[in-house]
Amino acid sequence: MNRNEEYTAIMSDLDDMPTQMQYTVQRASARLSAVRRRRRMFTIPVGSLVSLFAVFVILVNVSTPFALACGRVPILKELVKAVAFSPSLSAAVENEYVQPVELTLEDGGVTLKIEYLIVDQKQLNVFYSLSSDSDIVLELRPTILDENGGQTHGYAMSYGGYGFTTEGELSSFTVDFFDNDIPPDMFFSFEIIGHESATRDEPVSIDSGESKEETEGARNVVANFELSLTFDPEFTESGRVIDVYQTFEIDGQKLELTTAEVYPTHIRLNFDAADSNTAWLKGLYFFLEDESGTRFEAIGNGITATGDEHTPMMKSFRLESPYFYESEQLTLYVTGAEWLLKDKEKLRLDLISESADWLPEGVSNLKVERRSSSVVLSFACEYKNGEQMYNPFFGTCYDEAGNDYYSESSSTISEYTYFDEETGEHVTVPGVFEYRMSVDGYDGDTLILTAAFSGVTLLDEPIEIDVE
Amino acid sequence: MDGEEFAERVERIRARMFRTACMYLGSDAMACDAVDESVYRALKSLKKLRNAEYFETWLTRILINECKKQLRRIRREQPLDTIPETAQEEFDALPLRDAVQRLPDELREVVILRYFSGYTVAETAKCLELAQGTVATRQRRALGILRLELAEEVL
Repeated sequence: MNRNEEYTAIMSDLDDMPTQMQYTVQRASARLSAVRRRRRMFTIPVGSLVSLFAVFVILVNVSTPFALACGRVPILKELVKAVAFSPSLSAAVENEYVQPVELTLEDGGVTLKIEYLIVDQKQLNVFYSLSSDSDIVLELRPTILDENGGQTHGYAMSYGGYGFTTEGELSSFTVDFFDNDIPPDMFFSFEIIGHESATRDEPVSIDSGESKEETEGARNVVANFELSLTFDPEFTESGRVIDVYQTFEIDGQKLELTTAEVYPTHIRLNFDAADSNTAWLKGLYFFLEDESGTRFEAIGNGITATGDEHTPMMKSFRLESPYFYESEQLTLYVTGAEWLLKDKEKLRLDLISESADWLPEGVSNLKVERRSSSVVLSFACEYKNGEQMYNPFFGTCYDEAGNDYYSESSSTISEYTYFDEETGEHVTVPGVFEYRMSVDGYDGDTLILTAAFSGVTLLDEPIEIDVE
Repeated sequence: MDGEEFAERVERIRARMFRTACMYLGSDAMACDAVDESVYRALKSLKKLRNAEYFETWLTRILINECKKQLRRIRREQPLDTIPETAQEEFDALPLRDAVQRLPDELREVVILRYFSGYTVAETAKCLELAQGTVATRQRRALGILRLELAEEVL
């Protein structure tokens, strides 16, 4: 048989398709329905009103189809809106990775509704709404307690809208665990602060003249709640770790992408650096892409990177999660990095001559303003990587004797404007923002700051690293 | 795209998908599994398909990725190297089906889609994200190695 005859024979064989192929769509459809039914949801009966300091335990163990258990399409639309800022949380909602919680708590005319949870191995997102009989703006301040009622550690909390809520609208707070996993049970204490409607502005700025003590004293606690949550392991064991262990070099600095941790709410890329490096890694510009070209960007809201207390290096960076995309291949494209030179972690400011021994790349024009009980520093800072503002310095600073002070407040202004004495006009510098920091109780002539970075490397061609 | 349209469009290319998977994996049973898995993945990710016009290309790409994944698993268990293009005598000694399996990856994927699954040059180029000229070059090389005299589509 020659080759063409073999070809004809193969084509004839291939025409003989097994009968089971007729029902491939039906099998796929049935499989998808089964997967969705297996996801556990829970509900709590509506209308449980409780008095001050009552404790609730919510067990996640009822298996009910999502739509039926929820049965509240308008509320779900609010959730879609509430997660719109986060591609990962939006994907979680789209894939029904949500636990509805119909829990209503009331105290002193304030009603707190815990509506939904999105939780995985490392992160908890709580969606809630607050309402009140009075015309006040409500702010929720959660604290996580241990089983003995004491404070716990090893996590960070962040809020949408600085914690302020709009009456009845869905708000959220996020709890991030760093090294440890989310525990199976969590205990919360919620303090509800009431503010007069007219004073609902951004947090006090360093220019307002108000001291921290004044703002603390104005706090008006209108309600308190305590709550205990127990999570379904199906959600809290939902991560996976990919071993990567690939080395690469940027600007002479050797780095290694060790592992990638994939969770429904985010992906963490963990890095190591050579001891011989002359600079600490402080930031990375990058994105992930899968085989279909879907791109996963760095987290834009929330924790973007973490380090540890042993070195200034940022060791773990976060991006939007590919968890729900079932990507087969993931490639990391590194387009730049931020560094802190090991011999330039601190810098000295001369507050009289308004000069510095050095400043981070893109930072300039130190101006000093003395006030009765503080000194205010302002800098011109070039935007990084597009439209990104940043803090060029950490909050801890020192005098020449090594005594430490802490900058309690800092702010950024999206434009940098200065007064040109020659022309007599105010000039706005394009591509530059203003960074201001206030150090209370400081009257020295020099101040030592801790730099957040010293320089930036932008690559002409991205470095590609196969993650999976 | 609703469920009914999805089913109709899968039906239209189901035979091609089976032939593609069969030539990749060398067995009817594994081909059925690969097609099933690909159809399931496509159904699950249907919302991500931005343009329904590219459904067939998109589904074929999912299938090829699934076949490659299965192939990697098979080769881990039973190593089977590809043969370099220049080793013509080795190819000549093999049955055609085996010879196709031992082609270099970039030639095998083109010849399977073009000559065993019935895709045009343009469709093959879209599925594999190649230029049509590259498809034409690779199919010519593959046909030469396999000593197959089959019509090449005029671009």
